[in-house]
Amino acid sequence: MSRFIRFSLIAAGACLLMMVGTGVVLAAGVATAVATDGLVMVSVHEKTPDGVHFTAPIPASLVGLGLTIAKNADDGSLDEARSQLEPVAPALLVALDQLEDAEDATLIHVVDGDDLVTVQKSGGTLVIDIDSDDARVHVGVPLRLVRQVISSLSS
Amino acid sequence: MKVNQLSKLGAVALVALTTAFGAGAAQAADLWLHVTVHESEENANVAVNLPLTLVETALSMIQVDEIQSGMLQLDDDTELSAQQLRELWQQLQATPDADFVKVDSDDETIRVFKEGNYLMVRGTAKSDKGSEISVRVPAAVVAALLDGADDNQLNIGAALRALAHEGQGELATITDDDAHVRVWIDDRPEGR
Repeated sequence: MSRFIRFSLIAAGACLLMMVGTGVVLAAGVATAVATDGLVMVSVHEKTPDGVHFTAPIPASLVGLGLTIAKNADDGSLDEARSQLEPVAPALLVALDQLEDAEDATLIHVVDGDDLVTVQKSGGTLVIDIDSDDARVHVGVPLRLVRQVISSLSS
Repeated sequence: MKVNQLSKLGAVALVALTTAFGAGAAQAADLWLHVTVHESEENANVAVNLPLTLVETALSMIQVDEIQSGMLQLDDDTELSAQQLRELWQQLQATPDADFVKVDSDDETIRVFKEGNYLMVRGTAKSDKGSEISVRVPAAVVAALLDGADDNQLNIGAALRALAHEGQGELATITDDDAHVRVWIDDRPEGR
């Protein structure tokens, strides 16, 4: 075996080990994040032949990370949201507490012909379902994440 | 001996009061405000079920010209100012159960009256068969609503707190030929 091949095999092995190691660490990190912060579920199904169909479970920690990056970028893009949120943030946090403490329930249920909109509180998650003529949308947001976003933006 | 008996009585009264207030607070926290709207012609239904405490908190977040910090600012050109309503209500509270307003026209009958601790409104439209309105508001809620700091303000926040203290009950039903609206409070998360 030539020195070049041996060196290549050792380098490939090292890379493989690093990748596997990083993957395990990342997977563990994501799993921990999902377990602690939950998932934001977004599902969109357009009712047309070439419509969009996707379901995206997004770890809540990624949303928090995105927010941190946006805040650190400091390009003023969050200024408007922050200024609107600031005066009502304390009351919003209280409202979130009250919602979390409340029993699970359908908070809003609207039927208009064939269109249906529901907002439910299920455990620690706010679930929004929209079923209309052209699309079906499902969004599930952990209340804890909403709290994190409000706290982060208003701080 | 008498002092001892009085102390015991006082302790019992204190426990009873504490229990009553404790029960009241727990009840208020568990109450839900329900609003349902059924429109048969449009095949539309709306149901809103919200914890009463959440409604109160949400109200404090509304900051528009007419509503600030749970206070509704009445227009200056309203027929009756909040102050006049306040004075009127003070006089009405002192009276026994009676009809305050009774309108019987070709089109409608409207009756505003006091029944026990409730201000009641009943209305029927003669021209529009089946159209009815029924409102039942606890007197304490009316008093709280009129407890505005300003001459022309209504205190919606205080009214909601009073409503929570009053507990469960029907507040309003409005029915016409194709729609039915119902507003009530109970301790169930989902309306019945």
